Amino acid sequence: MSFGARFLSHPELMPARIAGEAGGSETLGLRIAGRRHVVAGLDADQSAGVAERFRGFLEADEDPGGDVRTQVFRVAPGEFRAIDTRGWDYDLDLDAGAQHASLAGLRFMARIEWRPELRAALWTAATPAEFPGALENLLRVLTAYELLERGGLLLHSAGVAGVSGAWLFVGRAGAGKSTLSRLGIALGHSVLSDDLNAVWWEQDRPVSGPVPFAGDLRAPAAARAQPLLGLFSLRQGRSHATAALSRGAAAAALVACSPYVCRDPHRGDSLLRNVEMLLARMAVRELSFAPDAGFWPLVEECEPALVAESCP
Amino acid sequence: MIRPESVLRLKPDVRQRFLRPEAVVVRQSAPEVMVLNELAGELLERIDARASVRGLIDAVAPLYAIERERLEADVLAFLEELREAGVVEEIA
Repeated sequence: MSFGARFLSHPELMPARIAGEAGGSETLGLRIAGRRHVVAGLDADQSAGVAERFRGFLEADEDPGGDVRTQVFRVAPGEFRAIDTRGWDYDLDLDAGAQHASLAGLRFMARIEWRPELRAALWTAATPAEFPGALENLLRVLTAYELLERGGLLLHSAGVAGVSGAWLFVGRAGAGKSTLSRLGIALGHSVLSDDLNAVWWEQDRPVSGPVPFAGDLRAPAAARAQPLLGLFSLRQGRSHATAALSRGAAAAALVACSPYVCRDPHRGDSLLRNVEMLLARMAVRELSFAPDAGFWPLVEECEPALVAESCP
Repeated sequence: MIRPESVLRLKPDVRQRFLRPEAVVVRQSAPEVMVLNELAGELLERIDARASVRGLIDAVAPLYAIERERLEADVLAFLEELREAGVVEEIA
């Protein structure tokens, strides 16, 4: 099926540039993975919905530079196909090109451009209740690309914070991210996100922090960037065990858990470069775990070894 | 069937990185990620749409203490697997 055909009444009329009728005149600032995003063109209902959905990530201070700007436009409901969502498995349409990427989903379409700077547009007929979800779908993709530009990664992972930093447990759907997150909470740790976490670089060190994209657990709370203490590739098992992964296997695990960008042929080299850069500083171990909290001592035991390995 | 005279190139959706002693290959249209051994990595790095398979074998032969005949058989079989997996295509 061609791009957009599932969602758009006229996929061939997908806007070819960032222009249209603004939904409103309100603007919100969000800080996602250490980078400020500005969402402009919101009407009052959209603004209130976004403020509620992304509450912990709002940023009021004006910062004239370094923003990633998303412009919201209103389009007629007839631009989108009516979809019966009962029993439906929602998967966005993404068409990535060298100069721009197009995105289509439930009652929205979007465009991401890289020149003259990274920016996006969202055309939507979503109801006020649907709008935050449509924006979140765009922001997930936009954040993956934004991190890629900065040498970082957006990873399908459970993020668990300790006193001195955070551990990420990467795994695709069904790997046990939410189970592990619940076990982490039961042990008194805070969970960054049970679905998507960001890795980026601050002062030449890999750091991690939550992104405002919910998994099975509640939406993550904003938190400052924390040093990345360890990376584990998840495998559900009958007992608890960790094992070293070769660099090749580690790279494969990270690439496989890098949503959106892993499908983009124009940025595959950037993804592999960022993965290699991270692996030069941090080993990845495989963690097999049964659904009880007994795995946690294995994680903590690995911490010093990982830190030592990460320091050249 | 890939022959010693064949010339290969990576398919357009394939990206690879040689993290010695392994190579990571990403087929982005799938998407699918593979981890290959060192010999595979050495071969993949040399597939450039110009060199023949025989040329690839000549290039990697000094790196491995394997009889030429066996190396050639192994390489041809491996490249055929890569072709069937959609990683490389024969252009001549």
